[in-house]
Amino acid sequence: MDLHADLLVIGSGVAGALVACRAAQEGAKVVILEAGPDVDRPAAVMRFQSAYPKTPESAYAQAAFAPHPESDKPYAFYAQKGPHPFGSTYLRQVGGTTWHWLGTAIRLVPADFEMRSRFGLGADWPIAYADLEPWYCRAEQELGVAGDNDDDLGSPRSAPYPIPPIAQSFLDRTWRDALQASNYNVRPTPQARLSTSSSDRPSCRGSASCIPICPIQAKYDATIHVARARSFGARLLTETCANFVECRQDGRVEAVRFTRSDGSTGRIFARVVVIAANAMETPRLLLASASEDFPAGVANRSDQLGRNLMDHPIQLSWALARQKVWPYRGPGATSGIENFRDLKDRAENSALRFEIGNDGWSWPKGAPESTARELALRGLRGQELDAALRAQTSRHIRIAALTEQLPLASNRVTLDRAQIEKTGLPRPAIFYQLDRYIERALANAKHRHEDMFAQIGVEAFWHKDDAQAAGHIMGTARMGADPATSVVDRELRAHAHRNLFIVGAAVFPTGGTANPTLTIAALALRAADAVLAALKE
Amino acid sequence: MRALNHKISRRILLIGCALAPCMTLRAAVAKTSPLADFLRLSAKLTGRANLSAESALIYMRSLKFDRSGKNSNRLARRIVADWYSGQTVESGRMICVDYTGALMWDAMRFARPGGAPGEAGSWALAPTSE
Repeated sequence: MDLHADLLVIGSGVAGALVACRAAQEGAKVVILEAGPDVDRPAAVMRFQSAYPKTPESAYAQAAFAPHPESDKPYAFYAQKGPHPFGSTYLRQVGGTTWHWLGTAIRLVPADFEMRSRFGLGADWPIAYADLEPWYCRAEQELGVAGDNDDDLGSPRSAPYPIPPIAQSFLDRTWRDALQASNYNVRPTPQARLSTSSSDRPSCRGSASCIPICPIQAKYDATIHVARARSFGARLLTETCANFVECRQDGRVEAVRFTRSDGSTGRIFARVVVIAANAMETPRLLLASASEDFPAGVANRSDQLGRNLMDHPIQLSWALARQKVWPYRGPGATSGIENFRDLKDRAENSALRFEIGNDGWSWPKGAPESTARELALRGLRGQELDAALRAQTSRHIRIAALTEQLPLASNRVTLDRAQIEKTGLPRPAIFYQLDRYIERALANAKHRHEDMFAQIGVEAFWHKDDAQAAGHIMGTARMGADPATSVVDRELRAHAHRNLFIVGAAVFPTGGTANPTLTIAALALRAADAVLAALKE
Repeated sequence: MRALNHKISRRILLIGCALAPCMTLRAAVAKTSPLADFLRLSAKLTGRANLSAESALIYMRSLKFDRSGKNSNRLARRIVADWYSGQTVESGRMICVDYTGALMWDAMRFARPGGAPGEAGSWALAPTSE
């Protein structure tokens, strides 16, 4: 099966969908390859409700053809080669991982782009915050970000949020009031979640299941832009996995081979190819495309492809507040503390982003189920059990600190060629470890959490001993001006491959402490201009 | 509202056949059967009538309920834990039996099972049912 297109987009998550949409709107003939299937929303809600454990993936069926990693089985999908198993996961389905993201849509701060020149750490981005700022505004429009214009949270803005803020929870206001006199500034979190209904999507109704699924699509997911791209004429091929990128000797990408879930194969010939397959699948595909001319894989003259794998290792802490705060309601998080993301001592102490959870102790403990079981197994029954359960769960608070992981060349994705997936791609192998910068950051976060708990007033508190995975996979195809040390240039065009672009968090040279999706969207919208220009070449 | 899915239906079929071939669920509950006994005990322990027979079948099997009456205090606690959490431990693994119908929601009163929309902005206020 041979297909022809102007633009081939590999991956139908937020990055690919935005580029495909823009190009199709401009009249390009666009084909989108998606390794996974369409998702039926009501079926996914039911699957989540019946699931144990209720992981981010629990709403989505595992696929034999293009399986996805699972949070509770860290050794099943990845071949873990390093001292610390890599725990972040993603989905392979139309709309990608935005099906289960929380919806937090926050910008990086200017200093995040200049870690090397300011702090001697990591690498500088080849663009400044100011270069990306207009695209952040565009991304907020496209995703429909609700935010509070009273505080730019350290990221200067040239335009207001397109949508009024999502209401802070009662729980948030308890934190805010308790920390009023402190230097912990509790602020509403910008999020891609409708606070007022639009013509085609309802506003948030507090289903409290954002991770893993919004039953009514008040939370943005990329099927919105996939549908829009298709309305402009883009063609979507589902259960179709790209498994080899064919390049000419001069670096020009000629065609991409694919396999479908029915076993059929084919090639797509495209003038321009955009890989939008997330920071795990993107290096996986390009490394698997090694040839005589490109023995280290496509776009890997720098030997940086797959390297510099980053997440936001999270310090998770929880407590039993003295006062009732009524958790387990509303979006997963409606407020955060953002004023520790840009301090002067980042050379020693990582930036920290604090996320205040509305979801009680569900993440650390599997509550309220776990609380119900504990109390019942202790022998409580009837009204006594009901009262105790209510008295306990109404006071469950939790806070998560996102730390900044610096890029380490040794943290990397490679291929385990001994195990080949039905798609034809080798299994990803990961070497991953945490360094002293992270260990110090996690310890700092624990102290901060205890400080906050003391001010709020708690009966007891706990910390997870190990860093938690955030689901923020970044860095494996990094941007840079120098082809010797980077994979793509400032336009996200692959060095040495003029008609190949990479979008998504793989291109981040550093990760700051911002949940990555808004930055992914901004970069993708900016890159779409370069992609359109390339189509005219 | 319960989410009765294919997984639970298949279990009911298997357990029902093991209990009494050709016996319908209603018949099993109506007669003096292990299921009826389990439901009666569960109602007594949880203080709730109208417990789900479908869920009862699964809890009963995983807890190895003994209708002869030699049920321990430990088993009683497990029964309550299962009904309240909507979970049980089957073959050493925790499974979800009935998330939306778990009694914990009724006990808590201020929160609902996830996945079903409620009132816009309701999370901004303390719950009205105090």
